Amino acid sequence: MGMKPIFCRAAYILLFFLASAMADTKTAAEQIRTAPRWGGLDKDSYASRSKEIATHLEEFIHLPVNEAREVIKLALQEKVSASKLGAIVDTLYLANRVYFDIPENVEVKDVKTFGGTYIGGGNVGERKVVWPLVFSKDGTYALEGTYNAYAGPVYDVLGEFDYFSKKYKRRYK
Amino acid sequence: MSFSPRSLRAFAPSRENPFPQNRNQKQNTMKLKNCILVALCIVATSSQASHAALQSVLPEFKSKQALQAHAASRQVNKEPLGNVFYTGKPYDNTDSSYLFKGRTYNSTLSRWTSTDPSGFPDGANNSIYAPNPLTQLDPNGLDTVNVTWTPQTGPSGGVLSFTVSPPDAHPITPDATMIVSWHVNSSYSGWIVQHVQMDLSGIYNDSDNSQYTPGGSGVTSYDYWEAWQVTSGSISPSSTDQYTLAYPSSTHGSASITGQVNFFQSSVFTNLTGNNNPANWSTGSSVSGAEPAHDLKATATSPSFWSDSGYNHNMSMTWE
Repeated sequence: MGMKPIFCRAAYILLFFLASAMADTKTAAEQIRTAPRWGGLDKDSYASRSKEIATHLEEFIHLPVNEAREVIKLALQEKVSASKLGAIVDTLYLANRVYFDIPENVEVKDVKTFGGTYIGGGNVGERKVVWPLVFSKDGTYALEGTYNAYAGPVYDVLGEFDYFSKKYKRRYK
Repeated sequence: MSFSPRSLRAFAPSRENPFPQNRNQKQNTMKLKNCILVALCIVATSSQASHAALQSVLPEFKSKQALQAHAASRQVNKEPLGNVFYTGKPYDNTDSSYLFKGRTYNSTLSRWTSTDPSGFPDGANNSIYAPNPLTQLDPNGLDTVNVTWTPQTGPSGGVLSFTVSPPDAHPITPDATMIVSWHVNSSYSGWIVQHVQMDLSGIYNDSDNSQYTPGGSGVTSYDYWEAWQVTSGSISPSSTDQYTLAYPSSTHGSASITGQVNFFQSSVFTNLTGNNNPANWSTGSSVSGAEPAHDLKATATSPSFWSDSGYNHNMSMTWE
């Protein structure tokens, strides 16, 4: 007699977790799609824009790898104008760098790029792969650069995500 | 709370409802439970997200309370939060309008719903989107940005063709982007070579009209060649080419990027060495004078096989 309610409860709990996982990825994708751009910034805006972007990435960075990958796919899925797509991949460029614990500088011979706007700085023989972000010891991060013009291949977000996921661990859990 | 005979009647027992208070209490408890459940769901799934999303697009709201009150009154959250459509701005279902920073735009009426807070920068009629919506953007409901595209397609039926996006739809943010997609017939191998020229010299700071250069670099132009390798129609490292211009709102002026492109079969390079063979070019990130962002082969010195008889696609942006 008691078996039926137990099964029902188990099914409800399972459905609840599935639904909440889907809601998480959907929310995270929406957050990414609506994040403000970091291109064309005034230096005075770096701090405030960093905080805004961090808020928009908060959901994403705590997801497991498979769900984070889903979020990227979801964020890119919607049919949008070229400019809107540009804005989304801009945010995803940061998302990959925040999600994975990438060292600040990587030797040039070990760097693989996937298009995208933006490589800045680095020591001689190295490239600052986390640019335009800078990470503090307490785990916070902020913008330290912007860009004004770009001509090159469209950034391969998933290609870079998969590459990073093989090389680096997650930065936050 | 006052008790009138009318209000007391609800508590009076009847044949159908001998225990009215108990029933009411039960119903109230159920309602309360439902309310708590719904509230918990809403808070858990969307509260933080909605605040963040709205804060990003409506920065004039200083407090969370003010923002939430606005959202509630306008029912912005009726659909998934931050519901973004054609303009790239949140869509308000209540009155079919898009929420821009400065004001709202009604897509049904094709009009701003209020006058321009910045005055009359676009002429006497300040409720139209822009004097020429095909070439001008109004990213915040305030100033206008002019964007021009010169999209062309490659030679039809030829070895190389390319398509440009957006060919007819105007972009909707001040960060103007054009995406070019290359196509090469599958029986051909060689290199797509593109001469890129960026003119960034006409940009000035609003504050003192001094020249603005990206990152304070002093660089006002780029002029270089880049190459995509084609193997039996397959294009490496990517069959796309993106052009983006983005500048701080504290600047004004104009900037342009021009791409002149052509396809060269492998046989062209048989006896060419050094800089005259794209196979020997460095990647863009290490080429001085080239836009340093990717793994395309690039050179800043004109190669011998190049002639300026390729196919053009240009974009330029002017803003005030």
